[in-house]
Amino acid sequence: MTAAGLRAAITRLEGMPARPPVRLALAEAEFRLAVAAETGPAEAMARLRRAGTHDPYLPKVYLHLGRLLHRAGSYREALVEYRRAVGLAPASRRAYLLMALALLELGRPEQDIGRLLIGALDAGDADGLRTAVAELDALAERQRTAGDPAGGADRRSRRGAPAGAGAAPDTWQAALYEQLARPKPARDRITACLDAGAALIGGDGAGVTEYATACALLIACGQPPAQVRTLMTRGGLDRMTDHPAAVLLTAVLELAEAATPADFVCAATGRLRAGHLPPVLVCWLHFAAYGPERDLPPADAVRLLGAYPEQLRELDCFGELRLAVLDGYARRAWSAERFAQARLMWRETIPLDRNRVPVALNLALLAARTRSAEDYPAAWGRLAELLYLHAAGAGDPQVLLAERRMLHLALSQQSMRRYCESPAAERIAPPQLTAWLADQDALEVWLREWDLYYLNSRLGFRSPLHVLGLPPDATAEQVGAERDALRQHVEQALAAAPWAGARAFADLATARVEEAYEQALDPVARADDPYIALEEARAKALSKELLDRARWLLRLMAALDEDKRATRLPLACAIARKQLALPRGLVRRAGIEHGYFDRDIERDHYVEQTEIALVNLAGRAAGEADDAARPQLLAAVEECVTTLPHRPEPLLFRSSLLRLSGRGEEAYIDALTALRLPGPIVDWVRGMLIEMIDRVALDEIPDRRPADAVQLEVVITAARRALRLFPRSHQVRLSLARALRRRAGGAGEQEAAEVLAEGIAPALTDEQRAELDDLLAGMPVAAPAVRRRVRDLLGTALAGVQRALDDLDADPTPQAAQAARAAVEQAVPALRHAREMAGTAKLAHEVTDLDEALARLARLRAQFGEGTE
Amino acid sequence: MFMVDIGTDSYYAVLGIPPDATQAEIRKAHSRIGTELNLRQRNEPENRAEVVERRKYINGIVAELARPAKRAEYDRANADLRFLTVRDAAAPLFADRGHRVDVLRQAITAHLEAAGVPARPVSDLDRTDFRDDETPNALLDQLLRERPQ
Repeated sequence: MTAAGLRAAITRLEGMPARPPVRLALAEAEFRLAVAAETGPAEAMARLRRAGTHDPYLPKVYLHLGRLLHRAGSYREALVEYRRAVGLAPASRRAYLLMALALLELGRPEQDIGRLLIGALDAGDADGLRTAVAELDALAERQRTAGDPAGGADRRSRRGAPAGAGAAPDTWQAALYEQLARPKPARDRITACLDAGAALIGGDGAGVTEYATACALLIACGQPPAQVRTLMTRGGLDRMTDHPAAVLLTAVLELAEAATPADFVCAATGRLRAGHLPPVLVCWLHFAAYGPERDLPPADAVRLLGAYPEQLRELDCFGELRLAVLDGYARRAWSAERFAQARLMWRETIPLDRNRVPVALNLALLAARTRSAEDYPAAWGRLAELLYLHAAGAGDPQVLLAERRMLHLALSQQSMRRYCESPAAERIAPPQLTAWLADQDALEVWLREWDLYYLNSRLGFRSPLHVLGLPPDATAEQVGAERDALRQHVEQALAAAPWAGARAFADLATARVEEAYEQALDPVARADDPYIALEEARAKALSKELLDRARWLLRLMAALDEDKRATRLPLACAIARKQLALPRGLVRRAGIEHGYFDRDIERDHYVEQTEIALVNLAGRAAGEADDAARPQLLAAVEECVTTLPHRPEPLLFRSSLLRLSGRGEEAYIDALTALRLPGPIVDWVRGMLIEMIDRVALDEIPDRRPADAVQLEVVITAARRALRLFPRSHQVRLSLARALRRRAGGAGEQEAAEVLAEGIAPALTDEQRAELDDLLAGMPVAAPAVRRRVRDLLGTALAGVQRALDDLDADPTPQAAQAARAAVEQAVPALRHAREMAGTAKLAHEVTDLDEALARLARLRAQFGEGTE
Repeated sequence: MFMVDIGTDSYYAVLGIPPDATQAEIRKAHSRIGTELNLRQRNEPENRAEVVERRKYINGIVAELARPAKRAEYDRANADLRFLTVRDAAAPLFADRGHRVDVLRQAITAHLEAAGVPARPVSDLDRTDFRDDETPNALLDQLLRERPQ
């Protein structure tokens, strides 16, 4: 039967009506195709799942699905399938054995149940099997409800099979290897397993390979060679001189009994060349005999490795042997505080594997232990780099996630604990706070490392809601906001990381955030998410840490503000950037939950306070009189502008510093940019910005009080140039107009009128515009311009009123009436102003038109007044 | 320059055990240090007060680590200690007993299989041939017979 035949049969079966016989045939066909040797694991799993839908009562489907998951390292998922298999087939020893092996790969409570299962299988104890499965169910339930991986289980280790029990023919190997994996194997269990193995040896050579393998592993696990020779004889292997398994066991014994290191190397080389032994086994036997736990001096141990022929030394497993020997001696040197030797040994391992994380960590610890300023930055940088590089290389942010989290937590905790033991910001004493702020290096470590700790903690959640930091009832809007916040956090936390792989890791993290976003939006996935409850306690703890972070940052900002030193501005910017990048929704929820924030206050108070503190410091920097310090202050204020791009104050302060630095054009642009920012600007800031524009422009006119005609022309030339550079400066415009009007014989009247008229459109305030209008109205040469302006004001005001009235006609609601009344109220002062201009300029027609228009507006006001009443 | 403190005065470092030490390891360390202090007390009567103080300190540490809640509290407050510990950099074959048994068994099995003497699988995880698991199905087998092999 071929895979093609099965595929064709599936196609034909799928075309038939889905009656029970057809469904059963489909289940069997999918199953056979899934377990075929040529089918890959992903397709096999999909086919088994399909088989399960066609026939949900086939235990073999779940057994094999579990087996595939088990092989892929998904032990918990495999256990779920094995549990279903034993539920449908309670007598399946295969399923129990697989279940036991999966349990042995997990934590202590699972391992205990796995041992119980193996013991029950060996003893043929059906009740024991049922008891073990019931314990597994109870453990799973505890883990589900308590969120505790240990499930609150009794952590006392259990031995499994009772003493004196035998071993079963189908499980003796698994039981033996489980015993050998223990630190203290039970001798009676090993004997029972080997008895079962020996009993299976047949005259045809059956069972020899398994028995010899078991004996070889006994030696590898430290059993005395003499005892194993006895076992070898008992199994009759000593007579099977040609059997490869017997040859292997003989070779292992020869190595284990080698009298000297040189004898060992000589025998191992010969046996390897003869193909009697796998190299990995030789490497382990070498390590066990002459590794760091033995008596050889380090130099001799390393020299002994060099005694192997080069072609053997080039094998990967020999490289690992060398690394293990060097590392073992390095750790011994570390314990004995022989740090130079430890450093030398660990560094020797680097060419063997440049990317080994434990070596990088050990070297980093060494640099810290010896307080080596030379080694410390590179060693810790390399450690962080490797932790991110491995994840980036594997394309999975979960790789080494716990290590990264712990690294960043350790650094961030220590940098803070140096000055404050308590995580509560209010508990730090002022002198300690001052000292921490003075230790900029420690503070920067805390600022940087906590963000990375937080990022890795979020990525460590399985529930998408907890990845994003959302409550179970989060709205779509909240999901989107937290997605954006975490994406921003990813960028900010990793932007400055100089490590190889940091960018790739950031992309992976962003992809995880996006995935969590999609999953969190799906109500079905959210309802089925078992991790929401499991991870809730951890998520709450992290939210509290986030809240503490926000409060600490605020405390630091307040201290810097109180300190009043402009030189602290760069540090303040760094703190503010961290603060402003925190997920506000999440901080707010945590703050309300812990009673720090008021539920009814809309704005994020802590953000506002942070911004104000930073603005205050920037203001002090701008007011600093010291010319020498100005470049540094300017750079700091520029950082402030980048940190608070939505606020006008930093732009105002930068504008001021730029002006004092002789960079008027940039100062002018900053002030104008600030005025154009969306959102309201407080009056004093607006006033200062307008004043800044004028100051910058007036700087271009050195002497504005000419004594004679020659000086007057100099001023006019300078004012023209200033107006070209800074056309929004009202004061320069007025200065130029005044100077032009001072020319003898009215020679400058026409140009002055043009200068004033051109200023109306770009004027920054209504007051400026009114002043220009008044000046123009008093100039006879400006009559045409005044007429245009009056007509313009009249037309604009009446058009606004007409629009509002049309709207009212179309939709006579109270709101429309209110809008119409407002339009009238707004038009009246504009028309009065126009009327005044027309009167001053003696424009008779316009005066008549404006009077009529004002009379009409008065009637409308009266009507609206009545209507309202 | 800011440098981490790798916890040379932590409870674990004082006892000379790793931060994930079991209670048995803690008891063993306590006993070892107690013996050392007894010896010192005998040999250095002039330092008796210092030795007594040290014993009190050690007993206090052990008492705290012996109580799971107290130990958890200490560990939480000093989470860095668990990370800031020298690691075994060797491959799992050399560092982990359970892994070693697996790796060596697989290596021996592969070696003997290549030599023409394959071992019986320990479990289904080692098998690739599952034809025995197929169940006869009249309809499916009929369809498979109809198709030329």
